[in-house]
Amino acid sequence: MSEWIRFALTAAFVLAGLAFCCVGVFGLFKFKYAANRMHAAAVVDTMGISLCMLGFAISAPDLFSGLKILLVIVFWWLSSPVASHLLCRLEITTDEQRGEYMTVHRGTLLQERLAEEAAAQDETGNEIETKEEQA
Amino acid sequence: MSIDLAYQVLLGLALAVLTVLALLCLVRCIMGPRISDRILAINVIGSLTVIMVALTVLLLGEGYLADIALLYAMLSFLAVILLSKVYTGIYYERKHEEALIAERAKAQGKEDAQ
Repeated sequence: MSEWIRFALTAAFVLAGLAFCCVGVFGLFKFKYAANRMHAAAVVDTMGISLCMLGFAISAPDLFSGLKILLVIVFWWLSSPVASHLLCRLEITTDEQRGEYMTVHRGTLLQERLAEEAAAQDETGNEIETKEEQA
Repeated sequence: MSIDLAYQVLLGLALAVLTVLALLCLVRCIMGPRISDRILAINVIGSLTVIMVALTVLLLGEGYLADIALLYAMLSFLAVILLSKVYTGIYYERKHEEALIAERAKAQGKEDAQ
């Protein structure tokens, strides 16, 4: 009887995790921009993976493999935000039309620095003024 | 209905759903208009694969496959980090080259005018 309770818990967690995975993959197709899609992919990375792993750890063959499966959750929750951060940096750095759909804090990106330098070099009179402003 | 058969039905169903989801992510990866869409789809495929590998721990009853799931999580993380760093660097390099070419063209134009 206790085996069947364990099976029911595993089934509930795994099916819930799969539902979250389906929602996340649906979001990948639903949204239009990469920064929005990142939001949908985070559903798979957090709830999808953690509920599935919890379900697998409940009925793992021995104690230590169950703990290792739980360790995957810990590692994934630590690594996924870092990966998303770097991916977002790539997106806002390389997307030249991003001003049409999102606003990013100015001043730190090479893209805007290069644009400002080009604008300053076009009008040689303004070049000194912008340097004075920066100083 | 025995407990083993119940587990096999549940895990087989879950494996089939995960396979379909991974294939859909592959479609997104091929369709993705920008490079960040592709890397994002690869990240999602990685997390789905980690779930699949952890599922085989139950399906085959082998404990050591949990280590492989952990290793695959690390490799997938490394791949995403590396790809985003590499493509940021490629973008900066291309921008720098374009700026150099524009500068040279401008200098040549001034010489011609003189």
